[in-house]
Amino acid sequence: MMTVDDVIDLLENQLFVLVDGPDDDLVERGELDSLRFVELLLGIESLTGERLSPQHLDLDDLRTPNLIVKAINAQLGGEGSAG
Amino acid sequence: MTRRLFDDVDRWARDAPGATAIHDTDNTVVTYGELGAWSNRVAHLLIELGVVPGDRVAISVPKGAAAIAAMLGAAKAGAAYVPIDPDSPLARIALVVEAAEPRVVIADPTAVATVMAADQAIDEVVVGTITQDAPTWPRPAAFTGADLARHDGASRPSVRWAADDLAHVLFTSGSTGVPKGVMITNANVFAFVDWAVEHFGYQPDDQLSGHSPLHFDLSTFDVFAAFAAGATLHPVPKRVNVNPKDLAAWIRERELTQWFSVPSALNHLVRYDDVLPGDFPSLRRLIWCGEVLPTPTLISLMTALPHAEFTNLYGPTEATIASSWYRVADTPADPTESVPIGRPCSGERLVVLRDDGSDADDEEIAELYIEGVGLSPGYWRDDDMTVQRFRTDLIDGRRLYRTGDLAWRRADGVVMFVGRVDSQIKSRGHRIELGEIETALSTVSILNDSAVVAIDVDHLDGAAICAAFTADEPIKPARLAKELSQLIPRYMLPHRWIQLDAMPKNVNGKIDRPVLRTAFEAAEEGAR
Repeated sequence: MMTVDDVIDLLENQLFVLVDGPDDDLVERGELDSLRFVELLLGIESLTGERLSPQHLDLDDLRTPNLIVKAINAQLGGEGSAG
Repeated sequence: MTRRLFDDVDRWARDAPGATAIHDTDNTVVTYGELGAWSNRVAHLLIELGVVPGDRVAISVPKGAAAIAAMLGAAKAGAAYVPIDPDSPLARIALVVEAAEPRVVIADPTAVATVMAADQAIDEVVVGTITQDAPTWPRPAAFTGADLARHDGASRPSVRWAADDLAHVLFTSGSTGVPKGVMITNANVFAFVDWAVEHFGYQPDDQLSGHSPLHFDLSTFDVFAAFAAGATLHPVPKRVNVNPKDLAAWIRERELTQWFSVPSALNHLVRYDDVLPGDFPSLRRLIWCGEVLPTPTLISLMTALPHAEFTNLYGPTEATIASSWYRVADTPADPTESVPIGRPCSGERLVVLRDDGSDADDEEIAELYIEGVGLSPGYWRDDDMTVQRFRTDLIDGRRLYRTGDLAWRRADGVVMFVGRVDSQIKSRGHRIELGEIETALSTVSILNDSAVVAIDVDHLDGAAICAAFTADEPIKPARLAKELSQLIPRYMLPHRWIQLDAMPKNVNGKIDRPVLRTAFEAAEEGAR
């Protein structure tokens, strides 16, 4: 299971995006472009050891760290906890 | 006779006014008749604002029909347009406006707040919008959509022109930190467009992608080839472009017949299996340019899309869109095999020269020069750089553009790309001078020393930009990235960062870049 801290750590220390809290809207701020999107997924895959299916992820599911955690945990068969 | 950028639109506006010119990002449709009239109004408005032939009109409007109407309107007023990325940081927009000295800036209602808040240079420029009536800006708009509506769309103004007039000035990354402008004429644009229309056999029923941003020269292929053929251009919405799943769905929905982009978009589509076997049934051709398409990506696409033709284009902005082509007829059997940059387009020559200016032998690696109809007149207000890059002193006074690319020629005349001779890199198709990033980084006051190098990383598209720095205290790279994003476009932000106790120096006391590259490569290896 991923936590919101994992996601913020990934965003700040691997994607170098400063995050202003778990509800910071990355799409609104234009931080999530196509490369960052793929890097985010690769980072999550490396963290969880699971291959993701982005076919089942909408951009709106990945707007904020909280939403990312929810979407990824749901996909990994978790409870969909927001953090 | 050479055409002007708007001639094809006006021809279709007369002959097929109801045909769709642009299927826009918001799903609205603009016909050739409407686009012709829209751009006539823009031209009349620009002339009223004082634009005269030979002026520049800067356009900082998101990709779509309004931006294209502005481009065409500038051309109809006799001006060269200067496309500016509305997502660029304020400081960089100011640099381009300052350098281009446009008479007028046509800006997006949302993006313009940034343009207007810029420095003194922009204060003196006429800034307005053509899409809204009362934008909320830091200072009053000099013109708005209401002013546009006052003008007559039935006819275009009559202005004098010559074939060597500038069509546009495109600003690319500059090694000293200042973007450099490449001047492109009407004749340059149509030399390539006319070759492409004939070579690819465009028809009015073609549905062409518009993936490249309008400040990127590849977009002029999308736009003006579509208009030359009376076909429909589909600018790719920004939001669709983020998630490859959305992009694939959009290509299906729009029933595109041509996809043209830098390789990174294709890599992303393939990486998560978003292209299905037999997908995009309408697709006739898939074309890429800007950097090397990894052969495994090509194999995946050719296997999934046997109904499409696959063509690699090659060429720098200075030679207008592309100078050579190579059609991949059969799916490569070997994923390590390189795709050639191919043979010259009509009117172009590729010349591989040794350092002493003599012709390289077949299979000998040397620097690639381009000669022919696509060659820009030179850099905007930079004669020294023009003389350095556009050489007339090498072969009997012939004018050759020195690409900075290393290449070799096969015995059958096909040219193969090898790499760069300098610190220019390609990242996701963007041409980036590391010096521009380094200059920006050097202005961050909390750093003592900094340097930027590039390394190859498998999963990134193109080179990974790596920044090393020293400082008195530990600094979060994300904080530096945020500061840098105020100065340079996002696509230039480093992908890797390292804080060092001291910067490695060579015997001459200069930053030892090979040592830095090795450090980043080792860190990359360790992260696997």
